[in-house]
Amino acid sequence: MISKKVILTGSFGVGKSSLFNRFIYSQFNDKYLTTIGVKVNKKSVDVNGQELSILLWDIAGEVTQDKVPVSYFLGASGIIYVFDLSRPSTYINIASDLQYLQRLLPNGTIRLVGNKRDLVTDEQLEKIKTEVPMMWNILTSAKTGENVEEMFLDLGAALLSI
Amino acid sequence: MTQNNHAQPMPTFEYNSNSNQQLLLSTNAHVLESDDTIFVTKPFRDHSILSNNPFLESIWDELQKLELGDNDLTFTSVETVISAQKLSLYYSFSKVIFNNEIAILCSIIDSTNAYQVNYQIQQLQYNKILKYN
Repeated sequence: MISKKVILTGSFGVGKSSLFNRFIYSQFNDKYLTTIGVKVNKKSVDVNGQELSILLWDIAGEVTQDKVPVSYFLGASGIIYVFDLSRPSTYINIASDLQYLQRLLPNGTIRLVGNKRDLVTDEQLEKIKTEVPMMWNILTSAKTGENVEEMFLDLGAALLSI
Repeated sequence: MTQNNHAQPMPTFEYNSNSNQQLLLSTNAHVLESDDTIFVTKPFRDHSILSNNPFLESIWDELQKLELGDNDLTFTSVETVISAQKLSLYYSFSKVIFNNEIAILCSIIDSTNAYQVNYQIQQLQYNKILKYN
């Protein structure tokens, strides 16, 4: 079986651990519990008939990515940069953060994900589109499970096609 | 990255509640030596330790790239569940010669208690910020 290391990163409180728990354990907890350091677990997924083991790293949220220990990114094939659609402070650094991550992982696949879709209306989303400096790849809700599995399958397909 | 599948039931770790462990791994991730002070590794003498440790599995290829004499590769505060206990472990890796063979020396420090204090402070701090955002 092919294994790929994937990192969940972004500011604190954007729902990285919730996405981790939703994907790995199919669970969600409304209470915010901060992450210290890193949590690692894995899940096998079927990507177009090919089995892929995603080794998922949920790393502690930092306001800017240069605060994350560089060793965490070693051997990573993919990065999921998560921001909170309902909290503008989590997307103001997107452009510089993504540039930094691309330098760190020049051959890696990076996905920009807006989480907490359940907290914003369609009208609010239109406004957010004009405020977020880059277009996201997918919107998710760890709470309802919307697009979570799809996001990992889409990333998995991209990782297998490299 | 590839992973071997084992037909036999996976062995599990048992927590030993001490603070510092030295672990020596072969290049195929079998345990060569260990003082077993944090967790017991006996079941992994004949098994790859990677099958039971996604953290090690995900960095194993990078550990193979280490050269003798390189600086240690370190990871602070890796959440690891052993015997149903959530631990914060500090890992440091280096390549060494053991019995004329290349091996990976893994030093582990259990920093759970220290990080518990950090955790509580960070939780309070972030709760406060999230409340007003």
